[in-house]
Amino acid sequence: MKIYKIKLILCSFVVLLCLPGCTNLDEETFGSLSPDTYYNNEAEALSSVVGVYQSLSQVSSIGDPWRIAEFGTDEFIVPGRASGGWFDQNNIDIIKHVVAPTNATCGRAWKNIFQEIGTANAVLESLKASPNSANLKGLIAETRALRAYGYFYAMDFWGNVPLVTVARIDPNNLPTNTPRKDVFAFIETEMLAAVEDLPSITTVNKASYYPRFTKEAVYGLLATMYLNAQVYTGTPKWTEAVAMCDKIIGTNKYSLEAAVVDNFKSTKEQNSTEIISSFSISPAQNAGNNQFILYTQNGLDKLKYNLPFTPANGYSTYQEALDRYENQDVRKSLIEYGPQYYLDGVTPLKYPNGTQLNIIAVQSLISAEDNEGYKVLKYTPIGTSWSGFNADNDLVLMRYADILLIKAEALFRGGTTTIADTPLNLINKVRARSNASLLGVVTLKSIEDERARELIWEGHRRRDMIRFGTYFTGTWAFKTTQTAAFRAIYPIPQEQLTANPNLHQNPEYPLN
Amino acid sequence: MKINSINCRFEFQKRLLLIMMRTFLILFCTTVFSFNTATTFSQAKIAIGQDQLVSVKEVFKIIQKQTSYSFIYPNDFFKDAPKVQLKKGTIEVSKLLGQIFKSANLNFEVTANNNIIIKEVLNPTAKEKPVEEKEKSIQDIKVSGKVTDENNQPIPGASIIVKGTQIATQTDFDGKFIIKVPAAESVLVVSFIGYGTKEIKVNNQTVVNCQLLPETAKLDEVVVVGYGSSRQKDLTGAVSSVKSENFNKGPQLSAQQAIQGKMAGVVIAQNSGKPGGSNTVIIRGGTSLTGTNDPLYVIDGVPISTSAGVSQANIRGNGTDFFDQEPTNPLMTINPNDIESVTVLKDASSTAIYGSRGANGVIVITTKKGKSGNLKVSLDVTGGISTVSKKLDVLSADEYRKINTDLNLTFSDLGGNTNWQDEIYRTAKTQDYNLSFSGGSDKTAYRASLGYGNQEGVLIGSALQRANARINVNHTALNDRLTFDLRVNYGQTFSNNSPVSNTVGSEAGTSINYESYVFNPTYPIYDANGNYNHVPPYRINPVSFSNDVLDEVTNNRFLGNLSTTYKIFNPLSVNVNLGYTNQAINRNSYVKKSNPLGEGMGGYASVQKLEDFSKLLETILRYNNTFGKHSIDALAGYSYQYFVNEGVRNAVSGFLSDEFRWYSLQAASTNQGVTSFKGSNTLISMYGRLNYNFDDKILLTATVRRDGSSRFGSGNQWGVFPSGSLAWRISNMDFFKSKTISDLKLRTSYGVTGNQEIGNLNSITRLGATSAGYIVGGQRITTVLPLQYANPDLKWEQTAQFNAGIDYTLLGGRIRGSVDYYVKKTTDLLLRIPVPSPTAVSTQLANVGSVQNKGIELEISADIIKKSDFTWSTSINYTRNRNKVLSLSNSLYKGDNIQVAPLQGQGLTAGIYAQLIQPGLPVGTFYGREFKGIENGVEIIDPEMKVIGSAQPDFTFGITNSLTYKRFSLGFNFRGSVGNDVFNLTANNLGYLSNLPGRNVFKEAVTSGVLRSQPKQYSSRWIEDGSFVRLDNITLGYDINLKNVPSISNARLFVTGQNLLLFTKYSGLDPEVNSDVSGTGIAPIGVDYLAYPKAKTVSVGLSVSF
Repeated sequence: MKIYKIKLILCSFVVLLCLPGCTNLDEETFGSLSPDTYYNNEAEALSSVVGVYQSLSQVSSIGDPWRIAEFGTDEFIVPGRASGGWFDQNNIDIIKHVVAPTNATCGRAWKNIFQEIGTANAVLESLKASPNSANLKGLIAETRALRAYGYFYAMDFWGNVPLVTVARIDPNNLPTNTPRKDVFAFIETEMLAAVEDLPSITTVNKASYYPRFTKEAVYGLLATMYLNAQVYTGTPKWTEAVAMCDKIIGTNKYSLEAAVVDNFKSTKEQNSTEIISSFSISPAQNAGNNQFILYTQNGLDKLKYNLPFTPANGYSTYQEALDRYENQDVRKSLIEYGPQYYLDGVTPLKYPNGTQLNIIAVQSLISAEDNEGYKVLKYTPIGTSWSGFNADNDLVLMRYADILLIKAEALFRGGTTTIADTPLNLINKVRARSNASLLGVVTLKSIEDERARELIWEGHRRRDMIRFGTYFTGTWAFKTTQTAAFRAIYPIPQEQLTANPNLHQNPEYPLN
Repeated sequence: MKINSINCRFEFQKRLLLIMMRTFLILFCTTVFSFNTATTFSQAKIAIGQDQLVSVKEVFKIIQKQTSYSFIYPNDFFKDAPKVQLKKGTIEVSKLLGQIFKSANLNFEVTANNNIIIKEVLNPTAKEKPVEEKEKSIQDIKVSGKVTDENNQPIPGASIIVKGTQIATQTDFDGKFIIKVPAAESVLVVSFIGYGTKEIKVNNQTVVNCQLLPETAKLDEVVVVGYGSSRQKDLTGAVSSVKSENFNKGPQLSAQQAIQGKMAGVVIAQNSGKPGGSNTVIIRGGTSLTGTNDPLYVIDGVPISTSAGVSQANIRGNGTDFFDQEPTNPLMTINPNDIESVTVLKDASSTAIYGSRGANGVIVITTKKGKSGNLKVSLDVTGGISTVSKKLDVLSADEYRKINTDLNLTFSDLGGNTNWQDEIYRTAKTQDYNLSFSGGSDKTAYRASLGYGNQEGVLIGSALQRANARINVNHTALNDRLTFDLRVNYGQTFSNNSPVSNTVGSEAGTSINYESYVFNPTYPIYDANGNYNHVPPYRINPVSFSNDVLDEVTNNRFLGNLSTTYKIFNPLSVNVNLGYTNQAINRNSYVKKSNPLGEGMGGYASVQKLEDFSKLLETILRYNNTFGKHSIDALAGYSYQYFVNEGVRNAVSGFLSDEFRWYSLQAASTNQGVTSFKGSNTLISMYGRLNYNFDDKILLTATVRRDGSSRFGSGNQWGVFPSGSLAWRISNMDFFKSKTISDLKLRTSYGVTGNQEIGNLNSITRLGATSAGYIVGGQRITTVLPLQYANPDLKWEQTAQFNAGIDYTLLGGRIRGSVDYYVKKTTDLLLRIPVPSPTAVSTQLANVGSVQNKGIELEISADIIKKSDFTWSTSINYTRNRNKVLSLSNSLYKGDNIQVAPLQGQGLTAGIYAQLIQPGLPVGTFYGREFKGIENGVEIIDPEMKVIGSAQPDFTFGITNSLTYKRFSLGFNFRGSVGNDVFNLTANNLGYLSNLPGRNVFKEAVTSGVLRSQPKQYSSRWIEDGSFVRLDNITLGYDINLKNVPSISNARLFVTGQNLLLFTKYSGLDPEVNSDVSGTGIAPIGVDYLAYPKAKTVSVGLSVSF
């Protein structure tokens, strides 16, 4: 009996010893996909392409790429608040045009934009490698356009950036800076190639396709790029800029909405006749969010607009921006200044202590009082569906009014057109819509100011001021000195130089 | 004597064996020594080196060594003889023997060949008769009793002697004895090998119970090490061990706190005062630069994963800083009362057996086993109260009014006067109950325990309830050849978190303690309608958090293992260990929409369910044999461990009513995100160890482990981790003749260990779904994006460590300790490095750089006073570690430095970091600009960036004292750190007038004279000396006299104070905090920001055993 027992136990030990004899160390992936096997059909491919759109939407959202396009101009300021909050030396440095390579806002913006490019590279590489790639031509073109879009912002902000088209950089062969004009050429080539396989606004079913890129979305970017070609490459391309505008105008699908603000309302964006490209927003479905109201409005606007939250009173504009408008200009009514009232226009908007909110210009950059800083009411809260503090207003990337103004400027500067427009009638078309008095003559200054009025807070002002030179020569509020020419591009962020020793800092910036 | 049990448990066997050696070994032989006749007996003298208490036999030995005499006597003559007190100096042998023999009624004669023959004095009336005969004596008083050990377990075979007589007996298997004493004034001398001797006056008592306490000499103490145990004196590696009786006392301690300050080289800091909060445990300096330095925890032979699950339970998103909680302590579900010992393996020779997981040291926890015998029940009840240890000096309402008026600032004044810190802190109550049963037959022993604790936090709204159950069963069969050890532990903690956060950063960021500092002091708590007063948009009434922000975490942990050992034939045995661990974490949170925090979302609910489990199978062959002077102890093993973690997270918002909370997520209007995940990893290992002992003089250990991990790239899955060590017991060498040094051992070791804590799926390319979608044509499309690129080159982080040490025992064990020196170099550090742009992922894990730790550790323990009714012993440990980063580059990546510890807080610039990791500097180096003073209301700051402090201490120490006086015992320990700097980020945030009027400030902001126009900045102004000495623990105990209550074997009353005294120059709450300012779950060392404050606790308790 005992011997039997011992034998039994010994046998069990032997079994236990042998059981785990495996040395299998394969990792279980549990829902992580491999790019080699994923992109089998258009729906699967689109699931990654929309991710690139999401990433690019930072340039129109409240995020850092948008901020570095606006800080440093005469239309955007975020003062530190006396009541606490908002002070950020990084932003103040951009406002004062003294950005250093260590600037965190600038560094985050780089990361955002290059992540968009990197993601586009990865998706593009996988789509091209897919056995199904022949059926994915449209998506491949779309992704190329998205990548080129990313490079446009990179070139615009930092000039000489690493130009990479592979998903993974070989650590033994790190890229160096590509000169700005070569990046420009790359974007131009890519956009022109992509446009071939993209649908036109004239043929696409907007109901199912909105807000993806059409040919016209690409033409719009090319128009912007050509308008700034002299800045980017040293060679102007006025006629090319006009030609791109004409391709859009020639579709006859676009016209100005009745009011500027209609472009920024949360309803029926896909039916807009003015929006050329935009990003869809639906926070209720966890698909993007628009936080301009949260970031911008005064706390008391909660009462005015019956908001389900208290706005943060951050983003503001200058006296200089307000003063550009005539009083009759409808666009001036989209800026909050002076004594504030409820929507009825007569009931004063009051603090709990009974005093009426009276918004004045920013007096202090680091400890502004609650009522300092004019507010630009871009994405109107009227009609918005709120998910908490997230609005569902789609983010506008490009609209028809911009095309008209680009064409006006390009024509004025010497470009030629096949469609009979003059700078004066184009600008007056835009002004008339907002009840601004019609101009008799066009000057460079009036073009610049009109763009500033029409496109305030749409991410164009820095580019415009550089092109018109006012970025360097102008002074306003807290930007009290002239700016050196090398600051037309931002410094390459320090951490990028660390990660890639082959990168060189932009000229005249300190190495550290 | 009725000792006839052979099948009793090993420990009994050991005791019995020792008793038999002492009592019987020389019974059947006589001792004969031969030597020359040199001097005549009457002149012979011997020298006594020191005062000592020795047995008669030892006296004979001393005489034999120094003279030419030998002794002949029947061995039972001295078996019960009292010990002899020898005084320092010289004494004539005849005089000495005369004294000894007189008291024992013996005589002696010296033969011609220098033999001393000892005889009984043939006078029957003068000699005490044996016990049996004395029964006839009319005067005798019958005394019975029981001898127990420190755990109230019976001691069989203890000897009881009536002082000054030869009347003696021994205890039986149950520790009981009966003896007849000749008089009421008789004194019983109770003794047992390894235990201190006790003398008890009979005083007409008929029942005399006696508890013996272990002698402090630790040389024979068995220490649990990796995969086995070793006698302390046989250790060749650097190992520190603390037994349960030496643990820190007090309610609601974690396993880590129980050993805090007790060992050199082991720095344990409580990260905050949060109930159940985490600890930072660093053994011999940190090796990881940006990751965790947690050691490996091995509980009853099962290595457990502490990284899985726990840290993932954090939720932090836009506007939800207040949910950013520090992780809970992974050992919180283990009841410290169930722990028998905690051993820390420090050098490579002791940790290499854990191979790829040994680089940060190993903490081996062994739980209490049952002891055979009758059912023993013990109950501990503790209750205590805690108060916050310190509050910060913010402006009072009047001071706030005055400064705002002086500065001509518009501010809101509701006429109140509220000290918000007083409103959020409370006197918190703590209760703790532990009940344990043990007993069993000679073949089966069990111990079962239940624990329950309820601890309120000093911050309103925070509390922790803990429940544990544990069963340990040991069984032997087949004539002790087969043993089973089953251990099952289940623990649950349920905590209500106060919304404390130390990542409060943006303008919207907030937390309860942050608001208590900055909230307008002129506001009353409630408005006229009884609602909370808030200051929209961002200033939230501190008191409202406790009511409006709900955050519950339930943590369940099951640990179970069955260890089966079979002795195949004598020197060879096989052990199979099966283990299973399971942990489930449920976290439910809700922010009411009635609070401004939840208002913007219409109420916000989050539900997380996380689970991880692991399976372990281990097979170990052991070989243990002695060949003459050579003894070998070897093992070879195979282990397979599989870890899985998975979870679900849901966040929703938009509720019609605050009542739905997380109970009815379907009531929410918006889905903020649904995510689930699963991951696994496998670790397969083969290992072996050889211990060789030559004559207790030379000890050698060689270890090798080969680990395979699924986490690494295909070519690097397997790693080999060898180590070797050598020890030389000089004191056992023939030439060693010191009287002072009783034991001296030199040790040295070298070995390589690894680290594999990098998370799963880091070596392959992955795509994954994100929770955010995108709307195209009105339809929502899920986004699937690249998560990571393949890195097949990923390999083990390696730590090579050299150790040299000395173990010493002086004055027969009254002073003992060790000295260690080590050099530890970690290479191929697993670091997240930035990937060059453009790329879909911004960082990637790679093997980059190296770091070095060098240090000295000293441990010394002394029994300063050792009298029967008064003892005082003390232990001191000292640790000095020097950390240095050697490199941050590899062949592909050249790194100059890494910035860590980002500044947090409104007004402090984003993108500025407090610390710099750079080759040549230690980790924790504060890097910034030097503060030169204040001139004209402006901070003068040197523009040069430089090193402005170090969070690394010059040294740390611990001092433990324990005193007993009669029935009283007193234990207290101090712990300290010297030379470390702390960045007071809280003061940096609250020390400027620019906060006003919206946020209150520290009084310092007013007194410093800095103008309001000065923006906040980081400089050496906010780096403070964080040196401290803390009275961690003080316990006064009293053993209740139970002579009239025989049913209770032991009862002890005690009062414990925790954290009662703190000596420091640091101006913040506590210099010993680690704030997770980076929000990654890994706190940079030496940064103090908005931590949950520590508490002072006083508790009283009662322990009763039946």
